[in-house]
Amino acid sequence: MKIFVMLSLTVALVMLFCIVLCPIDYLESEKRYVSEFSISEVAFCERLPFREQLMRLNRDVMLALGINEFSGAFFGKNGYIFSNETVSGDVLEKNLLSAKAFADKNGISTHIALIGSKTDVLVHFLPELYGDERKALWKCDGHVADILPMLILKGGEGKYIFYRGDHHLTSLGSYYVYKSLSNALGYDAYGASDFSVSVVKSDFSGSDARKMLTVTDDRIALFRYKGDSEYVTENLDTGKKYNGLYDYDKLFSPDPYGIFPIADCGRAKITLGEGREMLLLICDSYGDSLAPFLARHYDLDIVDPRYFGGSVKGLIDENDYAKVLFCFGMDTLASKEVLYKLNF
Amino acid sequence: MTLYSSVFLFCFLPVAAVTYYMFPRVCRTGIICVISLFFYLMSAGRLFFVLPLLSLVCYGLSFAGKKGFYLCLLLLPFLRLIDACNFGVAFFVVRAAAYIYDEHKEKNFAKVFAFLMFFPTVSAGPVTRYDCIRFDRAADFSLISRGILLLIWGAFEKLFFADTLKRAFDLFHSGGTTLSAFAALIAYSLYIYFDFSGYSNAAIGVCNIFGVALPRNFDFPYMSRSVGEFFRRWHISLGRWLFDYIYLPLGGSKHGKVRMFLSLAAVWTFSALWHGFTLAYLLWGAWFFALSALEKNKIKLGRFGTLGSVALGWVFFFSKTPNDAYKFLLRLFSAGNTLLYSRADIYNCMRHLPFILLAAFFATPVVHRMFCMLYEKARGLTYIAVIPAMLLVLSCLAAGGHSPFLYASF
Repeated sequence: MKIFVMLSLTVALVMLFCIVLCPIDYLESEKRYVSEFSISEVAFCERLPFREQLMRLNRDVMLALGINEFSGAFFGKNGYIFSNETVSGDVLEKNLLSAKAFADKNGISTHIALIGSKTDVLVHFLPELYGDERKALWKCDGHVADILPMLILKGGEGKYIFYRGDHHLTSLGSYYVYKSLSNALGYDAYGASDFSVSVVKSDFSGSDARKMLTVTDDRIALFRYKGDSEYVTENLDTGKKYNGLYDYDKLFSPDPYGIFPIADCGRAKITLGEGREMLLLICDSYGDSLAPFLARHYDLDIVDPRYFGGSVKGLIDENDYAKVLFCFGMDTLASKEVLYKLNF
Repeated sequence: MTLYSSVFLFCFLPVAAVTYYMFPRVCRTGIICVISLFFYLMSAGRLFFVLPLLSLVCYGLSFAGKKGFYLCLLLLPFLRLIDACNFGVAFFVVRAAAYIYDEHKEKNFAKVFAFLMFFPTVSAGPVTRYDCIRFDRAADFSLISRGILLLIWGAFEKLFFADTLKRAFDLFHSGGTTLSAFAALIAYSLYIYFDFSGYSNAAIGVCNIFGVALPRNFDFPYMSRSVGEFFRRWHISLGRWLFDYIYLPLGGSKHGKVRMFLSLAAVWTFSALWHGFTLAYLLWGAWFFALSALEKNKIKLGRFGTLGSVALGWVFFFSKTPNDAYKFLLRLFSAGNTLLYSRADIYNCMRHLPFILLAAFFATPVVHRMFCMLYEKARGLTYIAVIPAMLLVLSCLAAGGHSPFLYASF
């Protein structure tokens, strides 16, 4: 008994020392830095020795007991990892009304593209009996481009349109969205043969894989075309400018998805400088991989209202946009009111 | 800071325990006062002054005889009215009231303060009695080792079972069908048991570590055959308090049936209001008064009847208003346009079923009896057998975040 008590005390004190003297400042599995050290539960939990192994133990026990959910993600078929997001029809309605009010106020041709999440699109790869409550969210009226059926079809055909371990569309998925929007936006979409596909990363593990503390071997592929390196892409948050459509520096960063323009920034521009029409693309990260396709037809001013601190109304006044395209994932528009600030 | 948080387990507790035992026995009451104040400061937020102030007030009231007892009880509604009811005030009040009623009239305020503010029990019990709490005993390694085992077990019940069941309950509760309502009720019944039992075991474990031996607070209540038996096995310390300080002084069963039912009504009214001054809690109290009254009239519910009745009683616990409770009950009994089930319900039920069955198994005495047998026959193996529970506790802490202990809000 005495040995057990002394051993327990020793273990507790060793844990304390390990936590206090923890050398880790970056959590590889979560792609973030630890919080500043303090006597707080968050700081202590982040610095627990063997934290990742313990988290995996927790995950494995939950999976073994059949719960099939960890940190809001769950396994589907074919190696796909899905995320559960809390969505609300009311929040979606408010965002769509904000977008419509914006369109009515500004008198510019405005279109809305709502991109289904993996849970909406890859229905064939969801676990058996997974509910279909999200269907009630999909009420496409004239303002919202109805691209979900096409994506479901392509997903059902086994096309690689979503990353297995990330919530984003692949470049192929974005290509299908690009094709679907051609009628609405009035451009002639280029066929697949006009692009050459190059795989730039073959071991990409994204957000869903991180939630599940696992890795996937997703491929980031780029749809290149002749002359695409003549575009100039500018990140207006950081001031970084580069030739071409992709920021290759980001490929080896903690988040390789940053290779696409507008990833995690409030505003970016893609220009060719040949007096082309300008499209205002108001989007979340689902617009990231769509932008390079649209850039073939328009100069783009890309705004992510979640990070953009300026006034979109001000941008409208200062620039001569031919069209406005809202491109959002369903999970974004149905979980947070992000578009209310457009009208200020 | 809670008894199963990383900060407490790896920082506060080892430092506090070493400090406590480093000092001579005569100083330990004072040391406990300091440790408890520190714990309370770290846990109670902006209302950190409430309990220390109340300790002074109750100490004064302890010299006012039985009047002091009633005045002490009146502190609870007063504090709820002025919104100063935080972190364990309800538990504090009943503990202090018992101290006053028993007329200990301790002259040493430090001893009273140490008893009232004793940190493992300050936020959510058990409801201890003054005679049980002594800080001048020699270090008893048998008690300390039992305490460590109990603390690990309590943390396991809370972090592994209760938190997972809470998530399951939230999921089912947000559904709209009868099946999801039924699943929510089962999940909640298990959740509240593991949440409270886990905390109690952890608190008793920590008390043991500091040389204070307390009896168990939960005795596998879902094995009960009657509502009376259920509440003799559920939150045993509060049940005894209600019996000793409300039921018996009002006459109990010694002065005829009318007096008995009045005493019972007073117990359930007090119990309901102790949990909260809301109509939902009053309905909860009324429900169990009705069931207790039926049992006093020799109507037997049996094991399944008891389980069902208790589970239905929890509806008033998790519903914020009587209207919410009513809507839930309509859903549960498939009234109106309620669907019987949905695809999502079947999916969620199937994936939670193994866990719920495991939880139900752990809510029976089987594992406890096996553990006790092992402890008696091969103590060394017990210490090894607890390692998986400890690893699961650490894994839950690492996976980050845990839901707040339910009874800490009383």
